[in-house]
Amino acid sequence: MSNTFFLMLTLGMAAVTFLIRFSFIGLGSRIEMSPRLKKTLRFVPVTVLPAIIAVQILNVDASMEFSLRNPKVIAALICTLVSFRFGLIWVVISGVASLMLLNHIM
Amino acid sequence: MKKTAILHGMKAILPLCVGNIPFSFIVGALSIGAGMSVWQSTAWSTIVIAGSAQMLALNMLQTGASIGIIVLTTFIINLRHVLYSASMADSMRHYSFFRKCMMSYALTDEVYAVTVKPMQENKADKWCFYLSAMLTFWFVWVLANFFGALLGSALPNIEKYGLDFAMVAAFIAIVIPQVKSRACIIAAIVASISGILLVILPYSLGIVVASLLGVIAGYAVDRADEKGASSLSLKGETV
Repeated sequence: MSNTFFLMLTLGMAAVTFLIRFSFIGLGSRIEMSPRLKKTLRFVPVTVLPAIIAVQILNVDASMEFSLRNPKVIAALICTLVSFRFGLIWVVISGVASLMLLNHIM
Repeated sequence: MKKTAILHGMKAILPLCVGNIPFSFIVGALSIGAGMSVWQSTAWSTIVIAGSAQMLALNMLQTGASIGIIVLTTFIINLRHVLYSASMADSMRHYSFFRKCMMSYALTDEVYAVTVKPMQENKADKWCFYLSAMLTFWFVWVLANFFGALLGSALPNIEKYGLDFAMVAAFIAIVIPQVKSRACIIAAIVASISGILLVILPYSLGIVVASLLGVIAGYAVDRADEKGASSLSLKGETV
């Protein structure tokens, strides 16, 4: 990756992240966030991540073609089951391992 | 006294640092596949210090998204940190501008989780405590990323081994514990379906729009639930 592209990407991401984290701390306690907004913001991570996961495992592209007979879907289901009981590292290990296995046999 | 606060901060965050090592390691390993050099990857993690956003960015880099869209998506996924900022604002109010900047810079999910309670107490050395927890987390995060990047450059075709699926698996591990209520489940489903349907949108804007639609759906469920609850309580009073 070229250094110019890298610098722009890094500074851009760092700037928005810092502004968000600094927002209320910087303003002091002069401004209160409405309880409604607070409640609604909790949906942000639970919408962005599932959307990414869905697009990734279905391998959807702009021609809207995808197949459910796809080992990634099964591996993702295994990950979901594992995540009910175990932490991140086990989810990752079981996911990658089951995908390798499925690729081998399917 | 200061020494105790520093040690206390390190001790408090250490379990979360350890828990984060695999995540950071994966970010490092995959960043090489997305075209970064080892030093770029390490600098990136040091400066940005936002795990989920970085993983999303790597994903988007591979699909050829522009910097503007990646920064916009970073903004959206990190919006949850506004909540942390709001909840920390009061306990950090008396610090100088410079200290406030420093303290907010790496206010990650983990740092917040560990420091929010101690910061509300009125202890003299809480600044040392906070800084030590934050810097410890930061250091471990960057170190694990660095080793991940070294592995990534040793195995150039990481996708071939199905290791890029590690990213999806990590996202699943992060999101499942958060999807607790009915409203969250509906928001997640709406966002997923919209995400799939909206891949036709240009500039990889699909995820951003899908997230917005999911948030609106969750908000609508919240409103409906509240209405249901208030009419229920009204009935309870009349009976």
